[in-house]
Amino acid sequence: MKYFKYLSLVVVASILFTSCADDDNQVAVDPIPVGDYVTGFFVVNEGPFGGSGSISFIENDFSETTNNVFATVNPNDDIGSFVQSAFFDEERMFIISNGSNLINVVDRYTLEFIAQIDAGFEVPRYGVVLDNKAYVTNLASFNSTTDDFISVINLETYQVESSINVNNIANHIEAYNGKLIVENSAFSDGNSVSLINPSSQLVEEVIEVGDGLNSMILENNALYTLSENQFSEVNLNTFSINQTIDIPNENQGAKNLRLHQDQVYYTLGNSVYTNSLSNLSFTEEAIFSYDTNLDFGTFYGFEVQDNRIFISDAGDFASNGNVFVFNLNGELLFETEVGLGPNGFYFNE
Amino acid sequence: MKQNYFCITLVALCWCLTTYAQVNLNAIQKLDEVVITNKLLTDFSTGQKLLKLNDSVLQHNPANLTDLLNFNTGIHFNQNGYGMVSSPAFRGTTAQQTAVVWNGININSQFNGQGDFNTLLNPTMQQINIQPGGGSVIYGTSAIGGSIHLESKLKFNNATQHFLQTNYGSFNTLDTRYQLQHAVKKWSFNFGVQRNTSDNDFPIQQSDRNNINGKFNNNSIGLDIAHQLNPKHQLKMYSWLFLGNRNLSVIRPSDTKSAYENQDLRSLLEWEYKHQKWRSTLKMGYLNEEFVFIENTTREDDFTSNLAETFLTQYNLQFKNEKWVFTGLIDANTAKASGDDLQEDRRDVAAFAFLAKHKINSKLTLQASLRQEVSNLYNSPILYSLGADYHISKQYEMKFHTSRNFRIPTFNDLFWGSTTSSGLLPETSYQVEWGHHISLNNFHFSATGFYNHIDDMIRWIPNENAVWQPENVDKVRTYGAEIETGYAYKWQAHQLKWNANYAYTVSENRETGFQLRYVPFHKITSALAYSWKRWAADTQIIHVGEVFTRSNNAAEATISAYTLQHFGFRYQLLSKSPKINIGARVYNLWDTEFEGVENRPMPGRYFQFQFSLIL
Repeated sequence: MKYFKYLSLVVVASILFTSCADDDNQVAVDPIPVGDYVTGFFVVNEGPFGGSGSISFIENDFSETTNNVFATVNPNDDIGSFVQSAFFDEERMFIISNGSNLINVVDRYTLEFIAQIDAGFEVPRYGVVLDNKAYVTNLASFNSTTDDFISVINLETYQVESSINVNNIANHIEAYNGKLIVENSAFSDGNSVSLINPSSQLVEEVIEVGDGLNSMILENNALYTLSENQFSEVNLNTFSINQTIDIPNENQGAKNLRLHQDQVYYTLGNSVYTNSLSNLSFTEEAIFSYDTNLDFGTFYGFEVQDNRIFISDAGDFASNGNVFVFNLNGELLFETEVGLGPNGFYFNE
Repeated sequence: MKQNYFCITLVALCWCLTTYAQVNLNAIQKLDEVVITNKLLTDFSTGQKLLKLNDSVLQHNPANLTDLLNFNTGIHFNQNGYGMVSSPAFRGTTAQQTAVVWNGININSQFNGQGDFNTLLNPTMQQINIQPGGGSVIYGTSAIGGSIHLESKLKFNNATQHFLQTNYGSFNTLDTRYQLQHAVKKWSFNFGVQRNTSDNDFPIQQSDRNNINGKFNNNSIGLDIAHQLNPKHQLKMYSWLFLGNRNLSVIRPSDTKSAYENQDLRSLLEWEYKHQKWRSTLKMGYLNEEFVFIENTTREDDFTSNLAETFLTQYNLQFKNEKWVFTGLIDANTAKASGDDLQEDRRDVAAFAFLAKHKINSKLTLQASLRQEVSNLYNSPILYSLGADYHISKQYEMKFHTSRNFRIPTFNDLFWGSTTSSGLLPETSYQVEWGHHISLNNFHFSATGFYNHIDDMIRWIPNENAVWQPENVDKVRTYGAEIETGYAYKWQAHQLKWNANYAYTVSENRETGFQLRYVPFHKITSALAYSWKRWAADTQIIHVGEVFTRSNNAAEATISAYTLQHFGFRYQLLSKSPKINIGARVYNLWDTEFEGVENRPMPGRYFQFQFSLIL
């Protein structure tokens, strides 16, 4: 999630250079955020079929877990069904509910409701902010892999002002150097990444990275992808493959690629693996295997951040899930119950 | 206030009972000359109870079977909003564990394994029989929790009768049915059409909006024919076409609005030969089930469709004398399914069953039966059933029944999406029940305790790619008690009828001890009907206890208990050719706010007006 810090920087920079250019030089110091949700991280819980999703907040020192924070702060607002993901800018958190085609915009530190965007989406998935616009991927029809699109949201009016046809699957999305990078794969079905120019709204490049693409990470000015039997590093300046590593047959199914302090992390079965980027072979020994009495929702969410490994387990998807936090040696530091179907972590620092 | 009205009704009800309990009524039932096809049900229900809803009950109730059965029996229904998918559950089991049987053949969907009771509109149906408890030996898959039998009746009475009925009410709901029964000499016909439409845009209580995207229309046509070739041979043909077109209600205006169309064609040919103590029955059936799912109604041409066809042949040879009944049953069944969501495949099943019933004396009857199925797709266990009826006295009968039953994986379970779930096993259950039945003149009372031990329950859960797949994961025990009681009274021109059901159901995961989701511990129904000369009035009360919506029975995630009352009256304008009745009904009299499934609000108070004509 360092990426968000980077992104914040871009946003701050753009604000500085556009609207604040005439101000004094006081803006160099970040204001200290104020609110109940400053020193911790959010867990996005998809919620039950037909019901409402929820957001949980856990303090970084694990002193407190608060479930249902969105509904508690905003009792009259509707988060929507199947909360899929969240994304941020400097002040705001954008919560995507793909069962209801909704985005709720809240203050990222107080969670106070700002706006709801309820038109212009069809099964929205992930989003990113770039130059005071938000770009949100949509799967649209499940029967078509060519109708997926990106909704372009004006962040002053909170309206979808246009859409970009991806002509491919559109799932995870990142911003780099003024361009959008879109994962053309959802549910491990897809094999490429697209580079989109937001001003021309055209797909500029498409690069193949192996079938069964399941993760895409932007770090160190490079893009790393994990597919069913291939790990790839994409040079973002040339948008070409820097290197690939074949995954041996017996380790196919590796998922949840993450990069933390130049170490690569991934999961396979119920185990977490790591190695340095330079030595990566996908034949590593597991750091730890994660035991659970919940059978099914293993690694529904996974993140590595601040020397900790975060796992969410959705259990049977018919009762609340759990979050487990480990240190990098695989020792359990903390566990707690969160909402139904926890699928991801979002760090607020 | 609501509470008061409820109490008054209850008091009134009790008062009626105590005041008139001494008086006799002879219920005369005329059963000759009627042809039914599902004779195994009545021949082999030893040890089990059988509830009957006859045509007069069907006529005075709403068009959809959900309301009819929900108001009149202990069966619990999970309705995803009014008119939406509605699944029945007996005794804490699931909709896939409830067999829907039409004229003796199982018509559960080949796709999802259940009957959607909001799409079972059958204009020629004249009776519904309900048998709680196992029935897989005769009806095969799904008869774990119980079976619901939709029966046509054909009469050789040389008469012609037209029946026309229209109901119109709130939310622009219109139900029209026409039925023609015609019999000449050795032929008997029964033809019916029915159409049921609704805007279904009821106001949602405690909110400023109406139900969104709930519009539906259901259409059905049926034709049944019987021909008596000679005293020994009889031919019968039943056919039923249903066309349904539903938008699927959503919760929020921004939700993707979907629609669902289904087309079900069911047809059955039967040849019956009777000679002295022997009866031979050959049935051949064809079922065609097709559905179209439109994911987003703004893109009508973007849909998926799937088709399943079933061909079945059943042969049954029966010997019956005063003491014994023996039946051998051979059942060959081929089902094929294909479509946008399914890998094309077929399932062949051959089943052999043997049933015997012995009347030991006037007090005791015993029954035993066995069934074995062979299939290309799964291994089936040997199924059995044992039953006993024991008349302790004229008024008191005890029933005992134990059986092993199953439900097979459906085509969705096996072939949905891109992966085949080949390792799936059938769900199996052992069960036992013990019933006590008391009848005193015009009063009856029964109490039945049951226990079900269910293994290998199939549940859909996401795999590592977040793709949902079925697995045999759950072990469940269900137990509880059912109480039914009724009373009828006739005095001069006054007629009074009362009946009530109470079901106590525990349905728990044997590993965690938690009650299954959406199974209420308590359900109560009570109906009181009164008629005087040309006037008739009735009221129904239904109470459904709190249900859990989470598998760990989280206290903060439940659906509250609710109690509803409906009230109706009828007046006979003309009593002879034509016979014309008019009436009106109020549903949810106290405008109670309730939902059956999480976030699926149901209508508050609404009205219907009825007109019917019999010629």
